[in-house]
Amino acid sequence: MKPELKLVSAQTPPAAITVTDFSAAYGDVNVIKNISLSVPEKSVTCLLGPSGSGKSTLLRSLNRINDDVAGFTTKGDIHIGESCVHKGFTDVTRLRAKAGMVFQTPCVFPGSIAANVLFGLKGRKLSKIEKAQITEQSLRAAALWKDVSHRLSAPASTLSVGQQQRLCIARALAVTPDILLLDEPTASVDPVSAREIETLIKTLSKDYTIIMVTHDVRQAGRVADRAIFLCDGEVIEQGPRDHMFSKAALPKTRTYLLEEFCDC
Amino acid sequence: MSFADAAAVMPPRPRARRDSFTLWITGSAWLSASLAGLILLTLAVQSAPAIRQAGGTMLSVQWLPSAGQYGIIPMVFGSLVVMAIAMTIALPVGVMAAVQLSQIKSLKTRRFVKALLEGLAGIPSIVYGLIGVSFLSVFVADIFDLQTGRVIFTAGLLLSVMILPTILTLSEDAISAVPNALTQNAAALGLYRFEIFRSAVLPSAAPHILGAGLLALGRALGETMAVMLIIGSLDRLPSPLWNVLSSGQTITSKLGREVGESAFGSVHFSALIFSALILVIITLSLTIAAQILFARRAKTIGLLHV
Amino acid sequence: MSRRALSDRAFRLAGYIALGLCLCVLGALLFAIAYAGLKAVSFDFLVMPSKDFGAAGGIRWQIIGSLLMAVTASALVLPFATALAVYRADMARSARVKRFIDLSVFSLNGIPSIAYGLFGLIVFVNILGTGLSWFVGSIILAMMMMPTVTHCALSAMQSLPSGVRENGYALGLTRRAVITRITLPQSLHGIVTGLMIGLARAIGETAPIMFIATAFSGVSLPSGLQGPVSTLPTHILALAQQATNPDALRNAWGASFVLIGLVFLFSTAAFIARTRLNPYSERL
Ligand SMILES: Nc1ncnc2c1ncn2[C@@H]1O[C@H](COP(=O)(O)OP(=O)(O)OP(=O)(O)O)[C@@H](O)[C@H]1O
Ligand SMILES: [Mg+2]
Repeated sequence: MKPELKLVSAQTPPAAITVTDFSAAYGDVNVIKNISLSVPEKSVTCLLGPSGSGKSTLLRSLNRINDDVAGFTTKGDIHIGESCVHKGFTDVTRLRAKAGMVFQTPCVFPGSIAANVLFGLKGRKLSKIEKAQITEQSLRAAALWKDVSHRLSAPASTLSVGQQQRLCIARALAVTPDILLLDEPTASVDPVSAREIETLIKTLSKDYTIIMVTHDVRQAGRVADRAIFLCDGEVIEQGPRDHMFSKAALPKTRTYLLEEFCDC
Repeated sequence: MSFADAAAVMPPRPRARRDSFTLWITGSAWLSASLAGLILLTLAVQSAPAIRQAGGTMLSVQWLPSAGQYGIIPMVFGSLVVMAIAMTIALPVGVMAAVQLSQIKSLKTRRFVKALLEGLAGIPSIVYGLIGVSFLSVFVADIFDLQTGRVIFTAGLLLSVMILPTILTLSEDAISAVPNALTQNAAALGLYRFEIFRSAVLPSAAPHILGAGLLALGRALGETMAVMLIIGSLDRLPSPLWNVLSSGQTITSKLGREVGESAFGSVHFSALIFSALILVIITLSLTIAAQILFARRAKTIGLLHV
Repeated sequence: MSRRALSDRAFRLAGYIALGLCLCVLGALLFAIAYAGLKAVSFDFLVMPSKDFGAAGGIRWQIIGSLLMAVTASALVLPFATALAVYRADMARSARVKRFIDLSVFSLNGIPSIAYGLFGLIVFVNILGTGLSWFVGSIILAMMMMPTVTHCALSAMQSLPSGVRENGYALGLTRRAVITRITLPQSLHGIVTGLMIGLARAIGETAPIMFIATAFSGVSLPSGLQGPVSTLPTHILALAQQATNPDALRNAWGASFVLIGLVFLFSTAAFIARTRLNPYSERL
């Protein structure tokens, strides 16, 4: 099925994620209203919008983690690459491994740092050496290796919150996802760690398709390749960063992005 | 593997519900969840013969299996009176002690004293029975100058100690759960502690204290061993009715004494099971009513009889 | 003094009296049990079989029988209570199912212990024809422990930090993996605590087992799943009914002392399990 794109030029890379006529509701309350959007491969796409606009809900629909929420229903399609991951798709476990998610507040499991990194891999047969390699690679990729290489067997709860957040990213990377879904990854982190995580996201976008929710418009200006502006469950506008932050954008978008004020 | 492959290679898996692990969990869960119903059903089926053959005569005051008379009124009466005595003593003492307990400032001391008093609940009921037989009934006989101390009053008294920890801990939980700001604001208005309690604490703690009382009632009704040993086991209404210093019988003590002597399948046995059914229905209603009162409370307490 | 101040005084006084009374009762009970119990307890008393219908000898088989039944009961209840808690915490979706499970657990907890005994007598001993059987007694005790274990396990599962399960799912774990690797290990303390509290209560129960699983004298170890055992509570019951015999009464106190010792042991284990096994407790 050919997704219908609302906006912008022909230069966008082939879409990795396509959302078509998608609606979502908690019980009777419609929180996402028939939206369509596309997210290109290997880039950072920022989801922007006021609180309650449905950003987290959209993100949590992409890896279907919201399946476990009582009363949550959806309509419409989500395609990743060529395959539809909503209707009739049953292998949600594989989907979730392929679309790693990092939540707003870091949540480490009881146990060592290394155990946390390998947590998603328990089912696979791996030698000690492979495990050590995966641990190191993931921690390096999450820019945490230098901080923790000397204490991999220390309890993960002894890390600082910023480090815990990066550990969560490392943990998601260890299961070799194609996509990273980040829900306000810097919300519970100080500005310095936030900058570190931003740099990290930028680096990771060479290899991963990243969708990131943020409230920090300036942060979006720094890291985003594309931005999507959501308001009250609807996509107001989507496009490359330079378009969204320029005068060519719709008035509503400009009000939100430049004046940090929402009139919808 | 990319998504395209995943979808192409893997046929849609059967729904998660049917894998063996899920099946095992679901099966055990439903089996466990149906136990209460199973017990009720069993008792109901087994009381059927008595209801059919003895019917209305079960509502009489005579229990004479040899003459085919199975009146359970004395037992029901005994149960209610014992329960009432226990409650009359334990409720004020327990609630007032809980109030006093909640006044202890140091959290450590308060927890310690509370844990200590909860120890009362750890003493098995047969040991309470032994205490009743060797001390309490002797005291009661001495004080009231009776031939035997194994009377309704003794049973009520003993039972009041047994349900005290239930009332005490649950009431203390309820009182401690009242937000500090509420009591402080009341105190800032220049109210006495009594007035603070009545106007700020009690209104929000009352449903839970009531719930604690109902749970305790259920416990008092269902208590068997201690009561059976000291109530005197006499199947008739005391005369006059309010004479609590005479021997009596409760449903539980009757069951404890007589089930072993009745033959399975006989009307006698069935009549005993019928009285048990009534007992279970009353205690279940009390427990469920208590849970409804607790429902608005955090999920951590309420279920356990402490 | 004003009326207000007066009633306040009375209120405070009542509080002191009530709490004092409770502590006195507790003290008196503990003193009586220790005083009467220690007179009977000796090493021989613990390891000798009983003689003369309990008036002489010790309580070896009663201790063993009680432990056998209680431990078997906890082994039986463990998988079922855990499964019920997991189902309620991780699988049940509809609010109606959840309410039904809560209701049935509450109900099970509210049923008087003697009714359990009658259930066992009717269903197992008579309809299924097992006769007196310690194993049937264990099944019945397991049923009684069920709400306690389920409740403790469930509250541990529900008080897990909100994101842990979701984080597991987000890593692509299956539901089975989330249950076996996150929910169960992280709520182990609740399960063990529940088991220990359940054990402490089950070992002191008399009413549910006295018709179906125990015999008073002349029993040692059962040879199979059938056949009765002797237990501490039913032994105390039998001795208490011969209250005119001072020797029997003395040994009843001795047995009570030992029984309370076991209850105390399991309660302490419950307390330790609650703090030590909790992966989120402060003392990591
Ligand atoms: N589990 C739930 N049950 C019912 N309603 C929900 C649930 N989760 C979210 N909602 C509602 O859905 C709407 C969208 O919520 P969502 O979390 O997606 O917003 P958001 O854009 O992520 O906001 P924020 O920026 O504050 O995180 C809100 O109105 C919220 O109240
Ligand atoms: Mg959100």
